[in-house]
Amino acid sequence: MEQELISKKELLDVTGISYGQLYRWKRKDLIPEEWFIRKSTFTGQETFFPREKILTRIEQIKQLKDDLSLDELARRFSPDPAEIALSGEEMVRKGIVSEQSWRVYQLEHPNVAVCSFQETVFASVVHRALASGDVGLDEARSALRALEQSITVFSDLRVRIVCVRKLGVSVWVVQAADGQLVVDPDAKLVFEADVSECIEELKLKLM
Amino acid sequence: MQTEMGHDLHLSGHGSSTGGFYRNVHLEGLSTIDGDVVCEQCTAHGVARMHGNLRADMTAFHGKADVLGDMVTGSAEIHGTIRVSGVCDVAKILRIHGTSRLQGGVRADVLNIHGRTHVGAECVAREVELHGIAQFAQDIRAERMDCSGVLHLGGPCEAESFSCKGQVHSSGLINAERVHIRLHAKSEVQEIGCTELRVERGRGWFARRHKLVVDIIEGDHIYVENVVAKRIRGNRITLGNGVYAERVEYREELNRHHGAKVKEAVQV
Repeated sequence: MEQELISKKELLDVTGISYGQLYRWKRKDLIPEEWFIRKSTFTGQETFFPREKILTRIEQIKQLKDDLSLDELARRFSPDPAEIALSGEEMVRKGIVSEQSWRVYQLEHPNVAVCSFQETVFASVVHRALASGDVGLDEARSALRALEQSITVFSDLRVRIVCVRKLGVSVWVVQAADGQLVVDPDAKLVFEADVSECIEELKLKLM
Repeated sequence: MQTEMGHDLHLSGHGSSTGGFYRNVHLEGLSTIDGDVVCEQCTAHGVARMHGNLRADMTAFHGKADVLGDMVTGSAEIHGTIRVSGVCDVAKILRIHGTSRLQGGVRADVLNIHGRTHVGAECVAREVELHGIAQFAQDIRAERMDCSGVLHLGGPCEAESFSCKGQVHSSGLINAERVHIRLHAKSEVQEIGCTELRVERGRGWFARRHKLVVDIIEGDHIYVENVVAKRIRGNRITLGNGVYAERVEYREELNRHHGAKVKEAVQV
């Protein structure tokens, strides 16, 4: 999973922010520590960032920082759970899940009327999987089961979920967000999603 | 704090107890407590050894204290030597005069330390005031950090305002809104990232020998004296006397004292 990188200097030129701002945002946890990638170059140690992620994040911060305090922004970007409880209809109305994917969720949990934060996140991951068009209804259901199993292993939601299919049989894998994954060349990586990204998106929709 | 039993525990001479719920705990002489203690007020004079956790509204130790578990308290005042093997969680002020080893990290509102201290894990506080020799093995996060003496940082340091009179040795990043360092003897820092940086030499006979050796400085407004740096990057940079920089990259302005040596300066 090689990603395109951007150097710190180039980042400042492109976005027009200053060193002080960058460090301030890092201090406030608006930019996660993992994005600071140190590499040695011929000019010594340099810091790089994942290009796509950092550019969209800085755009978001620049847009929102006039209306919100930095602490509030930090809460929004962090993958830590927020205090919410949503009913199915509300989630559909806010565009977190489609009706179809909410039905899939209900097949698995027939008695759930109001979702906690974590349940909402899982529902949105299911929705994402279904919306991608590469994953079938039954597969989406087993994705939900895989996610729910995984929370006993991982302490937080910084995980990725991946669907691998070979000869028509699909398997869901939940892995730590920074872990490497190599699949059998005959198998096909059908779907992948970063749960912390889903959370971010979810929080933007909620607030 | 809910302590249903209003009994006091008083140990003097060579005493020991298994712990429990108390209102006041007074330890004098050589005291050992083998279990957890929950109390409103804990005062110890002499040598105290606690094998469990300590939870108190107010804690005062005079002499030597050893807490092998966690110390959770409203405020703590310590004179003498203390060692806490677990987490040190103080709601208000943790004040230490003397030698301390806080192995499990510190969480406090105000941390006020005079003397020698070693913090073995993460330290989070609103205000940190250090006088003497302080050693932090891992991250430290504070709003205001004020130290005089010798500061050793094993991990990154994040603060809104960071000021230090004396020596700093840091193997990580010092990230603060404002950094002010008044040098004394030789300091070494790997990286400084800030909005405003001011590094000044100290006063005295050998002031010109005071040096700060640093890999990278990045900031908006930078004023440095007696700094040896590989890279200095910023908007407005002023290089004072005794600076040696391999490469300076500035955006708006570069002022250079005639006593500053720069190998390469570029405007970007």
